[in-house]
Amino acid sequence: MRKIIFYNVLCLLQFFFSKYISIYKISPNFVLVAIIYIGLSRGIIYAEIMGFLLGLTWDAFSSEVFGMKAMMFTIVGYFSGKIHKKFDHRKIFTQFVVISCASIIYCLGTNLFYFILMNNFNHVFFLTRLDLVNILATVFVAPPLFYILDRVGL
Amino acid sequence: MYRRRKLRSGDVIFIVLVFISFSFVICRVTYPLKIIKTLVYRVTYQNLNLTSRAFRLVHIFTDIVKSTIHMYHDNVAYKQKNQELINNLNNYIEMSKEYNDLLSFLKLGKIRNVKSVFAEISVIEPNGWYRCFIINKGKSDGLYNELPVLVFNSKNNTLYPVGKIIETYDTSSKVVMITNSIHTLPVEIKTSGINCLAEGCNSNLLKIKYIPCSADVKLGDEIIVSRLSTIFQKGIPVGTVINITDSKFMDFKTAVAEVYFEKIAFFRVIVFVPHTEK
Repeated sequence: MRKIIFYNVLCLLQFFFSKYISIYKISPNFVLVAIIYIGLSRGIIYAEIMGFLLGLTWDAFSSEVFGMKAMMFTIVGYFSGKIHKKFDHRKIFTQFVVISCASIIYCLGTNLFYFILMNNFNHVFFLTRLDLVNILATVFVAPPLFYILDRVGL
Repeated sequence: MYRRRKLRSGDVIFIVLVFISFSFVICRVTYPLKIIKTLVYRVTYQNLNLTSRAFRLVHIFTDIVKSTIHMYHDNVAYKQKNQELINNLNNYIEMSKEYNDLLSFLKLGKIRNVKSVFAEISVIEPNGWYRCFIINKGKSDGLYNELPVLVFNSKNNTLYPVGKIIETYDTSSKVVMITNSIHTLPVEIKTSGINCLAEGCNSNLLKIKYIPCSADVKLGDEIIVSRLSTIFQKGIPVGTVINITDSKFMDFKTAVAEVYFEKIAFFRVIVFVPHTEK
């Protein structure tokens, strides 16, 4: 039950309320932060399943290739689960490093998909200014979100 | 031993999930996948919409309290406004009667009316501000695919094109924006009257293609919707030219225009639905 509530609240925050939260069309990727939190604190299986489900939801709401986000978030969940118990997820430095790496991998992976599937040469192998600002926003949102998730005891 | 087994099962689940999502990507244009996508959309949207409404109840409650306080002042203002509207309505009825008489006298058909549906943006992707969004009106409100979606700028009372509907569900619709890289809009350069195509770049910019080399295009020229557009009405302002690429080795010039709706923080849009007489 708690997991369903968590899923709903996260989706609401990301898709329904992001238009109110965003500043100058910059909105953090709460889904990515949550998946990494789950991976670091709960392990591989929960993180990858949650990543797949959240990615599938994102795919359903977007105009892009169906399954792309599901795959990206599953991969992110898997690799964050791999470093479970190797780092202390309560440390802000760990959060900054892991979220930055995951965000960059996620953005580059998405751009690679665009390149392979849509022949879109505009954003291949580099990050746009908007991507970089979004990554920064995601990184700065991570510590409070990690703290809240820790307090909730997910 | 237990941890190793757990890790192994994690790896197996990972391979299965990646295989499933990869097969979704490979079969993205097939009919069964469209059914799966619609199913996922319907389940998640309904569920999230209900939760969102529950959250909004708090907001509605505060609105009710506020409106109760301001009710008296509003009532006085509304009474005055009501009187003005009654006078206007009388004039309108007379004018409408005169218009119908003239139409029947001249044996002309009635002008086709357009119904405006005001919709709220319910879902927007975090990185998809220039790609697509979902509105809270659908088939039940008379919407269907390929309808134009516009945004109203209250500062100068102008409508700007935002996108068109690509998927319609019972109570929601998906809108692809004109700035999406999969969207192309026929536009016209207002000063020179040249028709060209505006392609989206997944940002606040549009790439204006197929401008003849001989055309006189300057920075700051306004881009409007062309008469060739089958979705938007002709003459609606789209944006301004901010950059021009010109080469003597190319047959056409290319310009970059910034869209007007970029400057507005919009949460509501207008969909124009052609009114069909019953």
